[in-house]
Amino acid sequence: MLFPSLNMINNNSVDMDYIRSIWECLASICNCWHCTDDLGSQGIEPNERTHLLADSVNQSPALRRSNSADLSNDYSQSLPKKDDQNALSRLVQNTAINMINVGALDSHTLEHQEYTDRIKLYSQRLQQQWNNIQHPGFVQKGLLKDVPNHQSYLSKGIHLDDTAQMRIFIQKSVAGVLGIQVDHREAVVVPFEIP
Amino acid sequence: MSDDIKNYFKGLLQKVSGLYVIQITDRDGVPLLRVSNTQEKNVDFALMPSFIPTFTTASDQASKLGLGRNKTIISMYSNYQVVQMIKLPLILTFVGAEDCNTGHILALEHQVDGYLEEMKLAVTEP
Repeated sequence: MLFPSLNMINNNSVDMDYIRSIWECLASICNCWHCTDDLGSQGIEPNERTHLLADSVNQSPALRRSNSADLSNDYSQSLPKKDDQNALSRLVQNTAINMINVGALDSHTLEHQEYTDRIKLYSQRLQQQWNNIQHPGFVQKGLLKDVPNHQSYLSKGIHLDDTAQMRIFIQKSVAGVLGIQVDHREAVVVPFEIP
Repeated sequence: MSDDIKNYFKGLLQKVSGLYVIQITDRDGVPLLRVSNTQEKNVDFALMPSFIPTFTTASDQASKLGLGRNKTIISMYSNYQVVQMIKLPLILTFVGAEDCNTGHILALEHQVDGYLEEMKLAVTEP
C-alpha cells in the first residue's frame, strides 16, 4: 500500500517537473514576445494587464543580461518577486537621487572629536608624504642657482678692466635712457567730432 | 618640506591683491592646509566646519536644477567673496575682498593643481 503511493508521488513529481519545464518554456517565449512587442509598439495605451514596474525592470541592465542569456535557466519561480523588489528599491533610489533635498544640508555636520582626529590624521599623512617626495613645483631660490660650484667664481678677484668696462656700459645706457625724448607733432587729445 | 609648501601658498596669496585666505579641506570641511593674510580677521564665517559641507551639498543639489554638475561656486557678499572649487575628494576655498579680481583667483587653480594631487593621497584611504 505504501509503494503505489510513493510511486504516485514520484510520478507526480515527474509530471510537475515536466509541467514546470513547459511552463518555463512558455513563459520565456511569452517574455520574448513581450519584449519584441514592447520594442515594436511603444505608443500603446497601458491596460489593466500592464505592470507599472515592468518597463523599468525590462530596461534594467540586469534583466537585459538575463534576456540575452539562457532564459529558461534564469526564469525561476522566485525571480518575479525579487525583480519587483529590485525595481521598487531602484525607484526609491532614483527618486532620492533626483529629489532636491534642502533638509540634507544639516545632516553633514561632523562631531568635534572626529573633526580633530581627522585633522591630526591628515597632518600626519601630509608630513609623511612631503618628507618623501620632492615636489616638482618647488623652486630653488637665490642668485647663481644654475651655476655649479659657484664658490670658485665668487672667490676670484675682479679685474679693474672689467669693472671699468661695466661702468662705461652703465654710463652709456643711463645716458641713452636720459636722452629719450618724445617729439609730439599732433594734438595728444583729439576731440570727437560729434555733430 | 611642509613649510616650503605653506610658503608657496602664501606667495600665491600675495600675488592676488585682496585675497585673504586659501584653504584646502576634505569634503566634510576638515582642513588640510590653510594660509591666510593675517591682517584680515573677519573671514572666519567661510572657514567654519559647517560652511564647506554646505557648499558640497548645495553644489550636489544645484546640479539637479537643470544646470548640470558644476565645478566652481562663487558667492559674492557685501564685504567678501568666496570662491569654492570642487577637486574631489578635496574642496578648495578662496576668500577675498568684494573688489578682489575674481579672474585672478580662478587663475590660481592651475598653480595649485600639482599640490592637490599629493594631498588627495592623504585624504583617500590607503
